Amino acid sequence: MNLSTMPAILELLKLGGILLLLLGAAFGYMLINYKVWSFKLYLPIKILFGISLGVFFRAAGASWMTAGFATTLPILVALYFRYRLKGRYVAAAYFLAPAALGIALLFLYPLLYEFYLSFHDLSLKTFSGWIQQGEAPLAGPLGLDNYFEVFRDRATGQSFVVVLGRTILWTLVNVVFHVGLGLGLALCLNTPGMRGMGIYRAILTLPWVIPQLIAVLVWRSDFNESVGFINQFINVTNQLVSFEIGGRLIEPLTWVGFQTRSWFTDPSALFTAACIVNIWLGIPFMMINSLGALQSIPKSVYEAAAIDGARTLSRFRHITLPLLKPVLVPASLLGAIWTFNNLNVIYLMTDQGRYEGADILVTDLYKQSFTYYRYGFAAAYSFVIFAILCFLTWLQLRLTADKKPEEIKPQPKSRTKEAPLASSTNLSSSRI
Amino acid sequence: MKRNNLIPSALAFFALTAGAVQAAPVKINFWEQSPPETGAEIDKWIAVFQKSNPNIQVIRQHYENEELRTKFLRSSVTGDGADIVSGPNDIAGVFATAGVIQPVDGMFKADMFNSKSLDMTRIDGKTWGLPLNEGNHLILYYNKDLVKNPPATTKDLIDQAKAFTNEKQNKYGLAFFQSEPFWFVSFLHGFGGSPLQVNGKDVKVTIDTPEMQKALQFLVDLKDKEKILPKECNVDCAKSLFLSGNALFHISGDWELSTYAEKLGDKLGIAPLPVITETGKPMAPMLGGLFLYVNASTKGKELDATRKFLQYLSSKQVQQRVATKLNKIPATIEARADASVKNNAILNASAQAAANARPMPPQVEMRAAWDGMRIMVQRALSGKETVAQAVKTGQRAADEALKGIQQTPGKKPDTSAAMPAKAG
Repeated sequence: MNLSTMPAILELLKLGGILLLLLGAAFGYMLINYKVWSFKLYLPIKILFGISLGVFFRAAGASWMTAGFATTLPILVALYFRYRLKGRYVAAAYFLAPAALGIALLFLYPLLYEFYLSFHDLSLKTFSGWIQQGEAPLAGPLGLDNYFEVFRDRATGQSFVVVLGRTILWTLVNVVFHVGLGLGLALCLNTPGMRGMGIYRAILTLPWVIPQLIAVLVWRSDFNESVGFINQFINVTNQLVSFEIGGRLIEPLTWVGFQTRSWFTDPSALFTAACIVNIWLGIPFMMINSLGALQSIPKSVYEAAAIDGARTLSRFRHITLPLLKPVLVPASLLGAIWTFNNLNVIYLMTDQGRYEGADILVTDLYKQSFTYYRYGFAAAYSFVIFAILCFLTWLQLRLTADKKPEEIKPQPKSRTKEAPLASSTNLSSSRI
Repeated sequence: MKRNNLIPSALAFFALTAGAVQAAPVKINFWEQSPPETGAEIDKWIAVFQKSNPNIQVIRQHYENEELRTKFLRSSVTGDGADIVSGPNDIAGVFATAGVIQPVDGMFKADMFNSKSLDMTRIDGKTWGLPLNEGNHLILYYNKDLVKNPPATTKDLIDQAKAFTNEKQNKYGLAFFQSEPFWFVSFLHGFGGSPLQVNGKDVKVTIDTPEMQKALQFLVDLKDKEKILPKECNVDCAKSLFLSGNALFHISGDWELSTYAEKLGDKLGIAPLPVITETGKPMAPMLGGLFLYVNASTKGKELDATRKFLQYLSSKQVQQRVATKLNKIPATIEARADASVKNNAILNASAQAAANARPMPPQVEMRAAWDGMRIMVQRALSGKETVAQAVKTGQRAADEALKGIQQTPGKKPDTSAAMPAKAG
């Protein structure tokens, strides 16, 4: 066996062992709590235990944040068992406990620690102090300097607002094209009796099958200004449709912007190129989702609509779209979040951040933070992005949420016209 | 087993176990980021070392460049991580500033090495990395079928390149990664400039200077006035243009030597970068190499074993293989003088090209200089800004980046101070 693979395997085994130990400890800990939560001294003992644990961690050199976490976790568990659970759902809680503790340790703690770091100046210059004392100095007098820094204008003319605007544009353009083209192709593939549908589907799914890294690298070479396919194609096409009038070469396609570009050094061209690549990569996901949903719509609904005289567009608007909504909305939401946080495509298209002008929030965060190892700043930046994403998700969920039955106000006019069956059903799609 | 036999047996067992514990080899972890063929060669060196030092076990682990930096920094928090970590010289600034490596001054005799090699990791008078080889410098490549005499000056280069260039046929006189400052800095040196001014602990990024303006104007002119460069070209594009015979001259690093020698054979021409006609000074690329750094928390037996292993890597035996097997310029003077190294034509040509090269500053501030220059070069080449505007933007960007990395005066931590003891 290669010398260099052995340590990796050992490390994996070690990690697996640690994970098993953690789960075992969590299981055991919750079992003990379950057995003793009804004792009188349970709560005071747990509070004392929490405080001692925190003091121990602090004395051992841990930061206030870690010590605080160690103090509060046992107390919170005790409070939950004592006042909330009160013997109800104990079995469920008992089963969930290891996972809950796992989430607390592997997700909640890092999140809280990152929040703590966002107020501290942990960077290359304070790193050695952090190793030795376990703490980094506050970022500014109130600890808010990292957050101010995120919103500060930069010498290059880039600013948070510019990058945020570009990110929103990037997300919108990509999601609109993903959904639009994905749905369009799915509708084409859903044509009854189409020959060679399997072949078309396989070809159209190819961008999804090719590893993203390879696909982007190939696209990047295609966009090269001198030797890339895109510019060569534009040149040849322009030559084909060009003509001369009075010794002057006329290239009509250039009037609509069909001309060679410096795809990497021109920021707007670079952004366009990145959008093209990401749209190409993302269409199959939406297409497959839409196709699945389309195939699940019963034919009888369309037949009924046809009998009622509904035309193609009307059928699409009143049957297909409403019935696709339960699939398209979560898929678009997921797509929007993935696109918003898509580091790979921009990072690779900008040649690992070498070319400027196409950065979105995550790539900007990566570049701003890790080129100089500014961990505190990176934490603050991440929390700002996190807050934006939370807000956007909430907004989208609100806007696209279906109204509950009780929220639908009776509409006297339409009710009189509706068939008796439609009034007793909730499906908006049943109204054609 | 009879009871009277039990005690002697137990004693014998404990004695044997104790012996085994005593004889357990000292383990040293070695993380590297080299290409696979270098990794395979390193394994051979380790095998020979372990044969003569059975009480030391060297565990090699490969990581990608950036992953290695991040992982090493992260694991240093717990006093964990490799005892030895390899990497280019500019990593020294990051690690030394973060206080995760220790100086290696006492671990070898300084007069064994080429002084340039040692300068490449010297910060505040301390040497932070042991050089394994020199290199990563830029070379002028050409095809002997197309070029009779390699250009000695930039004027000569431009003349030959202009005669060859035919944009419609996709033929260019010169191809290199023109928007990357690592290439641009060779021009800057030729115009007498430098991106960093180091004065003891006072380090400044110097982008907004007359020399920088002249060098940048020269580069822009090569593209827009002389028209010998493609409109845009990165490493891959330049490489393919050169190998397909569509670029007369090509500037790239010594890392391409083996590939080009294999593809072009005797047709491959190698020359130092030409002299800038205007100044009479040679274009000087940055010189780097591969260095070995020692974890700040490596102490005691592990440190002794580490020192022994580093000394072995500096031995003539290993350094000769660096040249003959890896095609890299060895770091020690003794190995360079060896006949097997001197008779290697490609390596000699590379060493000649390296003669004009300047050691890449190891200071962490160089990162800010690279970023500032990258923005400057891109904006000037794309025509987004004039040369005068671009140097100012570059300077501002670098100064801004410096705020995040430079030490607050008077607060510099003692990097040799006590670190958490590393678990052996």
